Amino acid sequence: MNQIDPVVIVVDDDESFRRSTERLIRSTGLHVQSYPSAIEFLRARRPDAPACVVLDVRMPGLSGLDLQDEMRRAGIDIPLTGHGDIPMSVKAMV
Amino acid sequence: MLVKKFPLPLRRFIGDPSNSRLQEAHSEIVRVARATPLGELAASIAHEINQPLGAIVNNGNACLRLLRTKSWSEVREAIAAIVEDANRASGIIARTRAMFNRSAPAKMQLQLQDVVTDALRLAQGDLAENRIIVLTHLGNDLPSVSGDRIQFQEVLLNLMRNAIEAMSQVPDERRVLRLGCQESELNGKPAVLLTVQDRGGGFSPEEAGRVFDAFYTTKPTGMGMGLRSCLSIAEAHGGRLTASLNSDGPGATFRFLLPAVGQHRKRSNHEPN
Repeated sequence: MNQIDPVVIVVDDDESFRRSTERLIRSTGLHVQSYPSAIEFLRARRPDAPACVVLDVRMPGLSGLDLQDEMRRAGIDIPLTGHGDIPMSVKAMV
Repeated sequence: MLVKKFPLPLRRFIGDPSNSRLQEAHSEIVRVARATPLGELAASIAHEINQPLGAIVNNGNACLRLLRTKSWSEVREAIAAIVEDANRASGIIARTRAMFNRSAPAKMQLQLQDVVTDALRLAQGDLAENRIIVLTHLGNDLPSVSGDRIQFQEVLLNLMRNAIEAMSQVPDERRVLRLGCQESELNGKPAVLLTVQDRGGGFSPEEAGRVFDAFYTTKPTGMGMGLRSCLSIAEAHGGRLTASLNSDGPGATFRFLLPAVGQHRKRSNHEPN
């Protein structure tokens, strides 16, 4: 894999849903990495490439919103996109 | 390992202002588990089913793209995943119906202690395999209860199985399962109380509110239907099922309380203990 190619990172605790999201994104020709939890994503080596994270906000342990805070604290500039209700989106953007 | 499926806050059971509940709250019982209101239950069922459905939509859309590039083996994998997820969703629906399908129990007058001895016989293998020490304190002169013997047995087997699992990390000599039957009271009327006590890991204050929730489980492969079903059985019989941490040591005690009916019956001397 070319280091410069953008990568999509999927974080979701439901295995079948995570795999299906990976498959869908891969079918568009993009590279995908996936993690079953926010903790494991944080522990893993960061990609040396432009990346975005697709995550489930409602996960046990570190939630999606907690993950966003963690990444900001660590100085990681990775834009996040996810699904959620409007109050959640506002909280995530602030 | 805690596997939370859907976080639900602690709530009082709607429409239950009974005195016995208030008494429970003031007694030595710490952290009593309660049922969740119907709305939250519906939300958790919806969430469980939306996971496989979402995966099906993703896999289906992936297939439409993959067909264009003729990636046959990936298409095959996606379709297999679709079938598996559809079955998973269908299984959740079937088990959800089973959880609540307690409306017409076959009612008979029976002695709860007899249900306990039957259940112990059925669980003998499981108990022996897990080297559980079983202590029983079954009363001698208890009133009868009215209900479905098989459903009561199911409750007991479920509670015993949970107790065994709770004690799986406990050293052998401390794997004590205590079963008791005694007279009690429910809403000011005579009742029979069945207690199932283990010396396992118990539950945290955070977990206490969720113990009876549908889809809540601490087992890696559990589906979280067992205790919810047991609660439905208790309620269908006008009874109660509660859980609390033991105040005299580790583990938890589950209390299955049923209204008493008819006359007391003395257990005859030749009945096995």
